[in-house]
Amino acid sequence: MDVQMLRQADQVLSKCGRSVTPAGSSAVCLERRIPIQVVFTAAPGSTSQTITKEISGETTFLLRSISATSSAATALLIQIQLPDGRFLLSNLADVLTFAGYGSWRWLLSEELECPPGTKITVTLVDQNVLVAQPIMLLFEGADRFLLRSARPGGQRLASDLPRYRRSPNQNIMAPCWMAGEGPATPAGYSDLGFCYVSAVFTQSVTANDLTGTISLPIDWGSDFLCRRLGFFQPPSDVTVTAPGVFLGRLRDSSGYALMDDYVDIVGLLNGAPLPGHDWRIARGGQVFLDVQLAGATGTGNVYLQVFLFGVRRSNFVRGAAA
Amino acid sequence: MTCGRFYRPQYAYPPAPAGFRDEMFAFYFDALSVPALGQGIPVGDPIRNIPLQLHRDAPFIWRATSVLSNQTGIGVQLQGPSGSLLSSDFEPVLQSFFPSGTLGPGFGLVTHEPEIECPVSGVILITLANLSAAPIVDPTTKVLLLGVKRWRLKR
Repeated sequence: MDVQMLRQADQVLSKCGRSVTPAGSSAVCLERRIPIQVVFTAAPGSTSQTITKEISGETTFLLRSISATSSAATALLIQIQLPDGRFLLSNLADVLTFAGYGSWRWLLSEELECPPGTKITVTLVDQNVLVAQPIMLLFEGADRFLLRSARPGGQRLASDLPRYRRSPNQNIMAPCWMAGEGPATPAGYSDLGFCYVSAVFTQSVTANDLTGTISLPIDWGSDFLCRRLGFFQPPSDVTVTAPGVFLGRLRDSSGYALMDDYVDIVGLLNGAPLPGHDWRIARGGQVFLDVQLAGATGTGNVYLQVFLFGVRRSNFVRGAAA
Repeated sequence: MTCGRFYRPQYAYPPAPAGFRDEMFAFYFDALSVPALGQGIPVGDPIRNIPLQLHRDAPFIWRATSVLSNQTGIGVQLQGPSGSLLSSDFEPVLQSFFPSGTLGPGFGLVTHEPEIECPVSGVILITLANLSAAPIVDPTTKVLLLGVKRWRLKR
């Protein structure tokens, strides 16, 4: 690698995504991808292949993500041994479960330093020998070049100040965790992720009254902080020609209503996160969903189930002696 | 100040505490390693408390789950290593363990917020139920538990 080119890159690259280095030095990261391509032919001689790829080059490679091409017909198992010697997965895992590409690539929560000369070892096992099974894996990251620099490194200069300062009027598009105001558990409390699941609500298409109420009682042991809503419409009876739309209105036993009118809950709110802040339902309370079926035709029943995703918050430490 | 969570990224977890180091790790279970995951499920007769054994080398910080099944009628209820159930009833796999909008290859993961600390040799229990009206025959259910192993640094 040409040192002059690196120095030029050092001058023009922004600070975004750079490694923090000691004063008097800087790091230049140049994007690099390491592909591994494998094809299992139909009726292969061996149903498994192990591919070893050495990290080439003159500097440390920072592994940041792994992509895998696949299709619905892919039937391959995968295991990856990383350059530091450890395995990424506990067993051979289905490639479809492991990773895809684009937004579905496998992201490493922390980049992994892979010095030159170390190896990535991939083991693949063919589970459907009747058809050819091609797959391409892409180990994505960057080569990190450390160099002495005239740049100030760790020194504090006015130009290093953040563009947006912490104040009530800070960057409104910044994620809340960046401002240090994520939904952290308050001191003295304990959170446990939990999902309240309603009983399956049954509505006859031919009934005179097409309304009803689904209730979800909240346990007495802990408050519930709802963060996401889920609505599931199991398959209708075969005699139902059109299942229609469930309109609904959510409220809780304290009198708080989440909306002022009925909305298409499955179409608009399924999987919806609750913006702003948690919907806190006090222990012993109840959540009610008033529903109205609209537009259903035929005979028989249609069904609806409600899910409240969030955390149970208790004001004691789990597992502690009473 | 109240911040919306629309922009909240996944995996915004705190770094490892002082004296520890986190290493990304995933536990994968299927019918090869846990035969009960490939067992047929009659209507109204769940397969209860299938143990998913964790390793005994380091505590596992459980941060996300993905369940892939070839049967749409399967419902899942998970129980953490502390004995706490993660849902009040069975959750349909398609509803709860696939991220919204993902039905293509390479499934994403559904995060647990907050993360769940699993001790060394912890056991996660999974109960599978048939939520459909017909018996489930030859299911292939695969469970991926994603998180980090938390290693204590030598002093």
